[in-house]
Amino acid sequence: MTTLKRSLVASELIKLTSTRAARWILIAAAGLSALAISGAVFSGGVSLTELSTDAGLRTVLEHGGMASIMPLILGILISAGEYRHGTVVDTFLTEPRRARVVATKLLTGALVGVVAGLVCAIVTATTASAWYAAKDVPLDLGSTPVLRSLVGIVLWQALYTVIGVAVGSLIRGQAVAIVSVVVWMFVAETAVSELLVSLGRWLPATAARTLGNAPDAGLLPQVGAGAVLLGWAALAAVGAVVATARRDVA
Amino acid sequence: MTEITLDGLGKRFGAVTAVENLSLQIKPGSVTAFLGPNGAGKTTTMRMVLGLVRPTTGRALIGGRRYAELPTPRRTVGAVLGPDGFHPGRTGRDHLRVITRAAGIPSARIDEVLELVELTDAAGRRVGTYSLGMRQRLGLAAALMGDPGVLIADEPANGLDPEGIAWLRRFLRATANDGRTVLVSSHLLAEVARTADRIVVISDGRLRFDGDLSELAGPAGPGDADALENAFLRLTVGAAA
Repeated sequence: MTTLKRSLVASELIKLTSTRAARWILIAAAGLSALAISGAVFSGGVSLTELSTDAGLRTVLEHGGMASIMPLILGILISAGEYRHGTVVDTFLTEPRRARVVATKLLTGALVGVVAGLVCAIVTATTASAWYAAKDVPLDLGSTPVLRSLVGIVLWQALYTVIGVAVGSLIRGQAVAIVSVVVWMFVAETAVSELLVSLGRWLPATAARTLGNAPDAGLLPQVGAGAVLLGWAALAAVGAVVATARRDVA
Repeated sequence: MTEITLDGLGKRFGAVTAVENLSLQIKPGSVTAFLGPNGAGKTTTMRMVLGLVRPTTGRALIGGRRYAELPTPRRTVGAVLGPDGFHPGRTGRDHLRVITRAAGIPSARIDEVLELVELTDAAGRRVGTYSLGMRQRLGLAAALMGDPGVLIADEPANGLDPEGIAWLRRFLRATANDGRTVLVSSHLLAEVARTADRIVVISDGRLRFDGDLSELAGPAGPGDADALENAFLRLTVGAAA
């Protein structure tokens, strides 16, 4: 059972490394992290005087996690991508126990999500250091708020990749799945959260930003937000297993 | 040796009945042709055998087990389900690597099957650059990866040139002569008439004929292509009317 799982994960990793998409998504995620942080500092979204404050620092670093659309897309490619290209047939012929296939894909999503998270965290640390140096504001990368932000960014990207895998299993149309998460994460949820902060903090995208150590008032504590996002990922994962088990691949 | 058993197999998609109460035994050591017009239910039946489509009624067994219960499915059944199940950006060899790694088949087998389907030279190219016939052969390579005792092929001659069809015919014959179970579908009688030991005709999801070529042709004999064609049309078009 354990060896079988390992061989299935290895097979999923071959799928990801044998086409170009995953590489480009990681590169795009790195670029978006750098861009978002630069935007926050350069545009004055976080002013020069705020840069040295705890809230300002956390806001700047949290922007590095805003590349999270890329991990979501990566997750969707892992699952919905197989329906798009029809390779899901070969996957199910090799492992007809579909719950195992979905579990393998979720696990693969977590693994490559951590890789994406590490890429974002490294870019976040280096970009923020460069901007702080340029603005002559001291920045201690080993300080607790920075470490909390960076660890949060890694977990955020990893959980978003898992959620992407689950969403791409529930919504098999790759483009529809991507548009759906974009609309939810960046439009619908923002609207709900602005109307009702007390409700919004329990929603996935808001929990994700809080996990990324965003300082906004009224949000959950970082660990609590991580648990909430994990809960959303678990819920989506269960949905993915159930939907995939019953589905005809015609 | 492994036989395929269909036992009251049926499938409804909403209001449409794709397959109805199909019972058959498909034996090893022979080529069974699954014939019928487009939309007759051939593909749905094959996908039910392979565990891809869930039957509404009855069951499909391979060596007495449902596909999902096979301990080593890739080593038991090989399936060719058309030229479309490939990522265009992935090389032929990588497509096969994905399968061997997941199924626990030694990767040395990849070169063997590539050789067998004559794709060795193209294996390093992305599948997006392949012709239809090359994709069919890559699908066949994937099916043969686990050296299975059962081969199921849905319209494998589609997209093959005359030379490719002749090659496929010899290949299916040799596979059956090895003692394997071969089930191959087609909507063209002429394509399989010379290869098949047994003809199963379905139309509108129902069994219309099950026998050998001479029975299908009737008194005219299997050498009479027109008689065969007419018999086939009577079974399929007549049934639909």
